[in-house]
Amino acid sequence: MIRGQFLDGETSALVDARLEVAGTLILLRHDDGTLLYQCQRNKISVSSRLGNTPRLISLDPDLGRHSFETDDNDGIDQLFQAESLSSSWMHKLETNLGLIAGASVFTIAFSFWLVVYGLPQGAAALAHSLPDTLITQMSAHTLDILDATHFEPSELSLAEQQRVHAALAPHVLNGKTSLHLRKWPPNALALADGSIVFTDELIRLAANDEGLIAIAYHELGHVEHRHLARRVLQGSAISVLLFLLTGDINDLDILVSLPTALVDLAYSRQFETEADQFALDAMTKNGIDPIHFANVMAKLAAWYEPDLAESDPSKNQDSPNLLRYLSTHPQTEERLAAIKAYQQAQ
Amino acid sequence: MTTPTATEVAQSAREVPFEFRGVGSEFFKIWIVNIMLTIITLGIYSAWATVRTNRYFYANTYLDSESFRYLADPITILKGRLIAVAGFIFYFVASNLFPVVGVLLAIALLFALPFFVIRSIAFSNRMTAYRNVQFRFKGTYGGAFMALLVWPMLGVLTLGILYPLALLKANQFVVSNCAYGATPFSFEAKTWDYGKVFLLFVGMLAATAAITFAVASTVSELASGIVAALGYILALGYITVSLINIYYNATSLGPHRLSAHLETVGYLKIFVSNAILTILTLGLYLPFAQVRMSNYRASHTTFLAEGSLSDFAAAEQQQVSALGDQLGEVFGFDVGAF
Repeated sequence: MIRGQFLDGETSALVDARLEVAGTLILLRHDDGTLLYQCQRNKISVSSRLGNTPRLISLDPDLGRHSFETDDNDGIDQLFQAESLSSSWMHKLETNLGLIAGASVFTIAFSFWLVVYGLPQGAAALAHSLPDTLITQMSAHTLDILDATHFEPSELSLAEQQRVHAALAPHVLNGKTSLHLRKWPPNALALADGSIVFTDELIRLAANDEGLIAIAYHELGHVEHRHLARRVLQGSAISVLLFLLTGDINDLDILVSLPTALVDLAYSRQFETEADQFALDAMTKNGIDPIHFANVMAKLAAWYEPDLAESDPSKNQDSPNLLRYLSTHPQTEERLAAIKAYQQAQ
Repeated sequence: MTTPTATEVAQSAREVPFEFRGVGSEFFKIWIVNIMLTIITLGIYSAWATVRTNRYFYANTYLDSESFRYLADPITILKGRLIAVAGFIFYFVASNLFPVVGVLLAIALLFALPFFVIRSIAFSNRMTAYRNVQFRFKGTYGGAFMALLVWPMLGVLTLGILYPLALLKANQFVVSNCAYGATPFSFEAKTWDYGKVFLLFVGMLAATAAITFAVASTVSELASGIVAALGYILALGYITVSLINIYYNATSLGPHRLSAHLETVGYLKIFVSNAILTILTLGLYLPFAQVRMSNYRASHTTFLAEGSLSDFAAAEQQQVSALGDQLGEVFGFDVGAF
């Protein structure tokens, strides 16, 4: 006999009632014993147990939208073993402390593995298996958009432009890539369709062509490794994952968007390191001294952060070390150290 | 007998506080099993996880010794999710390959937005019951179009001057189209209620900017950064709390009224400590954080009952699919009635 409330589904009124099972019948009685409701046992459905929340029995739907609610979870479990068997396993998992501890460890370990290895490797495999035409389509119009918004036509003399083309072409142009010169602060970028852009200021800043070649290889590395596609795939995967895991409780939105952004920036830094490595290998293969890469990198760092470059770059003055996690590129001193390590390993 | 005055009516209303009885450690176990099973089933279990989470929060929210019920069937949610994810992949591939198609889809999505939102709210409402009477939503596409697209656009075009009114129109659209069974909700707020909150919010931001600048030039940049962060958080907390309070205080159901009295500092204490603890525990504190916040919000919300809560009538039956609800989530629409 289970105490609870009967609700008729027509109004919000509650009636205290007691539930009994009599053979194939469910009987609900008032406190004074008079019969309130009855139906066939095989017509009801019992809600699965969930923490300490009240249990809901949806009564025979053919008779109306009646329901019976009770706080007596143990009583319901005993009385309706058959009906709630299939759904009681969830509650068993949720109250098994050993399993909970294991699940916590598993979740953290799996999440770590997924973000650090699983997603990047999966995205790389997928990106490399996509046909070239798909990849190039991804940034077919990016250069046009950049020309319309940020870039201006190169102001180098025609002779100078041809000289740069001649110097870089044998290293960088492989049929899938094209070289473009633009006017903008010193920078170089690679688009998925193989367009590699150098700015006039960068060409002026580099002391020699070897530095430009180093940067060209770095950008080529981005194209060869399909970094843009991989970054897009990884970013989307993180979004879908978080959607699946957090469902609809969206009270604390920043806790979802902040980790997503930090992870995306971390991936970006990994890609930069991969492109650096590609450049060093390519330079070595072509007999160019990696020191030129280090030199042009130091020059770029000095141009963008003159205050920092004047002092010892290994000491950080005002900006705390944490800012490195908000950067799309690894810190310059890290990249310079990596080049030095590469040289020593040769 | 004379008819009662307004004060007498107000005094005769019974204050019935909301109460959240969920426990962080209890929900943590449900939450962690949800995640583990979702991972193992490659996401299929996520529908059951969502249902169990919502059931937990609804069933632990008490009003007058009775709690709410979440009635959705996981299979329905799963179907909706699969369709929604397929739609997302299609949109993603199409917009990356053919930017023009992507733009067209984005425009189509904009016009589909009111449709998804009303379906989403209707589904959420219908899946919510109190004392075995379900909530309803009868908002139309036209009403949603005005409230979600036209009014915010006006708010933007007037450089924010009409934004308080736009917000009022959006809230009014949602609440006045909700019903508990056969009894509709009504929404009564004045534009100035929103206006003064926004003015104070802008004032707080301006004061923060001024103090930050002063500190930067006298003390240090780092100190000014801290001042800016604190001021910004305070302003954000103030406007969040104030808008929630306006929303509930303007809502009534028949002769009954809702009332909310969240406080900026109290709310921020919970929000900020939640955020810090969640980050420090690599996310494991999240379920505790959600329970704490639900507890705070429930304990600062009251139902002013004019008589008994037993004489509400249910409305007729109708079918609403989960599709609108799930499509709304995947594409980031974030509107709920509760």
